[in-house]
Amino acid sequence: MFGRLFQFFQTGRKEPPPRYLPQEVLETILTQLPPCDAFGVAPSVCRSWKTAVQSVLFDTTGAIPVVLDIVAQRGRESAWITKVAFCPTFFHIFPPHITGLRVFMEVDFSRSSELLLGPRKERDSLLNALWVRWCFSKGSYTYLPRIRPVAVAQFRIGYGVQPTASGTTEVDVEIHAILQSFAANAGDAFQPRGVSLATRSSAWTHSNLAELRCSSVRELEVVVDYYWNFRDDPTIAQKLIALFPSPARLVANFWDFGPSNHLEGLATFCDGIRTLILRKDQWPSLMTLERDSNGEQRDTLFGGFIHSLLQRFPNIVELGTLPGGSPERLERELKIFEAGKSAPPRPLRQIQTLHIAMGWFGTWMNLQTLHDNIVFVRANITLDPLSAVLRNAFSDLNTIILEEWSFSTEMHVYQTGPNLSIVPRYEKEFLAQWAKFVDDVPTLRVQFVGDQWVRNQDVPCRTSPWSRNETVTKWPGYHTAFIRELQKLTKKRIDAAEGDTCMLKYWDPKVC
Amino acid sequence: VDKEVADRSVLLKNMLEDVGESDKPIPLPNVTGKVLKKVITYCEHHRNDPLPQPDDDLDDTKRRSDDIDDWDADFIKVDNDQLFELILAANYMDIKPLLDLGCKTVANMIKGKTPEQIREMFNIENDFTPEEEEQIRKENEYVSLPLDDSMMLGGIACLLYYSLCIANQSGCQHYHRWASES
Repeated sequence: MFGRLFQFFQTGRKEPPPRYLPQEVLETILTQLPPCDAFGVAPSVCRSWKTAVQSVLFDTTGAIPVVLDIVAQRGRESAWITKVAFCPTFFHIFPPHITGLRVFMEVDFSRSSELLLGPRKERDSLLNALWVRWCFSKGSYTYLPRIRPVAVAQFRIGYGVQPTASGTTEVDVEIHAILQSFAANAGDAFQPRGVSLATRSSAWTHSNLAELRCSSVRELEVVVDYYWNFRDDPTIAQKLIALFPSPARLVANFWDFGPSNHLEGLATFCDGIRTLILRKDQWPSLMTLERDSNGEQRDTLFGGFIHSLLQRFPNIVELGTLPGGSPERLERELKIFEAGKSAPPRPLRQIQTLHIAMGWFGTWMNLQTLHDNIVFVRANITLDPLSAVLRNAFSDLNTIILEEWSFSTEMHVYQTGPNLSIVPRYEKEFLAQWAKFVDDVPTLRVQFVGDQWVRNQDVPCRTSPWSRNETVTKWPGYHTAFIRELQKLTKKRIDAAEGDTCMLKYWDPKVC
Repeated sequence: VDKEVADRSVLLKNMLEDVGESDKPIPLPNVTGKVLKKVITYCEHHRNDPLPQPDDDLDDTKRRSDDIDDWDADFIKVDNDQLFELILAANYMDIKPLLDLGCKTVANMIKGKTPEQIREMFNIENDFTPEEEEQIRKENEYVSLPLDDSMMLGGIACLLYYSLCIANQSGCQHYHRWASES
C-alpha cells in the first residue's frame, strides 16, 4: 500500500482504478493456469483471488484433492517406468470433475505400489514429496498447498511387446500384489475405476491372477500381444474377465483376433457392457475379424459381424473402433453392402456413439511435404464411401469419434532442428473433403481424437510401423489447427477430444 | 446489427426473444460504446461458428490457453484496461467464446509471474494484512517429507541452483564464471 502511495507521489500520475473481476471469471482464468501458478501464486495475490482458488480447488482441510492416474510400463531397454499423473479435481462439482491441470511424475515402480497400497499417511506424504519435486523441476519455489489423493482414475500396467525368456520377475510379483490388494479391499474409495492391463502371456496372467476378482473396476482395457494364443486356449477371455467381473466399458486391443469364440466368452461374463472398443494393430479393416472357424475370411463389415456382436452384447450404445480402411476397400465393402449381401435387416438404432480409426493403412491424410517451414497437408482420396456406409448402417448415431490411429505416420515431420517453427497449411481440396464428410455423416457432432500428446524429438516413434529407428517429431497443436480450419467450413459441431486409451501420451514430459 | 450477430450473446438472444419484433433499443448499461463496438467486431467475425454447448465446461480440451486462433490473438491485442472491459462485457452479455478468449489471454499473462508482478500488472491492491500474509505462508508451507535418495538429491540440487541464481542476481558473478569454466 505504502509502496503504491510512494509510486504515486514519485511518478505524479494518477493510478488506474483497481480491477475487480467477478468470481466466476476469476475461476475461469485460474483453470487456464499451470498448477504451480494456480495453486502456488494465485492465492497470494489478494483476498478475492485466494477465495476463488480455494472455492474451486481446496477442500475443507485446505488441501487440493487429486485423482491419480498411474501408468507402469516397460520402457526401452526393458527398464520399468512408472508415471503418476496428479489430476486436481473441481470437487465442488458432483461427480468431481478432473481439471485440465495435470502433473506428470516419473517414479520407481515400488513407489507406485506404495501410492496404491501404502497407509494413508505415507501415501499422502509421498505424493506431496512428488508434488514438491515436480514444482522444483519446473523452477517454482513458492510455497505450495498440500495435495490429497482421493481416488485412482486409472491404473495401467503395460508389458510392452518385448517379452523376456525368464519367468516371473520381481515386478510381476509386485503387480500381482497390487491387484491382489485391489481384490482384498473391494469397496475402498481409493481404488481404480479403470485398469489397463497389457500382459506378456496368457499363461502368466492366468497363473498369477486367477484367484483375484477386482470388482471395483468399471473400465477395463486389455492389451493382448501375439504371445497370447487364443487358438490354444479359447477360454482365455472368460478367465480374464473373471478377474474383473463388472466392467461397463471394455477396450480390447488384440494383436490377432483369431476365432470369434472369445468374444462370445466376453459376452457371457460382461452382459452389462455398454461400451465396447475393439482395437487391432495389424489389420486395415474390421472385415478380417470376421473369420470363421476354418480361418477363412468373410467379406462382411457392417452386416454380419456388427449384427452378431450386438446380439452378444445387447446393452452396447458405444462401439468402436472400426478402421477407416483404404478407399478401395471401403468402396468394395459399400458395394457388398448395397448389394444386400451383408446388409442388416434395417439400419441399426442401438449404437449412439461410434469410434472410427483413421490410420496409416487408410491413406486418408497421408501426404505432406515440408517446405519453407510449412507443412502442406494433402489428401488423395475421397471420403464419400465411409459417410455413405455409415448413413446406411446406423440410424440413430449421435456422435462419431474419429481417432488417430498411427497418425504419427501422417501427422509428423522429420526431425528438422530444435528451433524450427512449423506452420500447417491445409489444401483447400483436402479441407473441403473433410467438411463434406462431416456434413454427410448422420450425427449431430464429430470428434477428432489424437492431438493431446506430443512426441519428443529424440524418441523413436513407436506407433509408426516403419519409423522404429527413425527420429520423428510431432507438431503440437497440429490437430487442433486442423479442426479449427475445418470448423470454418461446416456448421456441424466439431470437437477435439483426448484419446482414452493412448498410453503413450503419458510418456512424454512435454505433455505437462 | 444482424440478428445472427446479436444471437452470439445469450443475453441479447433472450432479450430479443422476450421483446419479439420491435424497433425499441435494448439497453446495455454495463457496456461502453467503445467496448460494444469491439464486441460486435468479434461477433461478426464469429457469426457462423457453432454455438457453445452447456457441457463445454466439462471438456478439458477447451481449457488450453495456448490454443488461440490467429485472428483472435490479433483481436485481443489491446491494453490491459480494454482487455478487462472486454472480459466484463463478455461476461455480462454472456458471450462464452469471447469470455474464454479474454480469460486465456489473462492466464497467459499471469503464467510464471510472482504475486507482486501480477498485482502490478493488473493494478490489484494487496489487501492482505501482514498477519494474513503470514497465515497464507503457513497454510502453504509443506512439512519435511520423506524423500528417497534420488528425490532428495534432486531437491538439494534445485535448492542449490536456486540459491546460486539468487546470488548471481545480486551481483555475485563468481559462481557463474566458475560454472561456465567447469
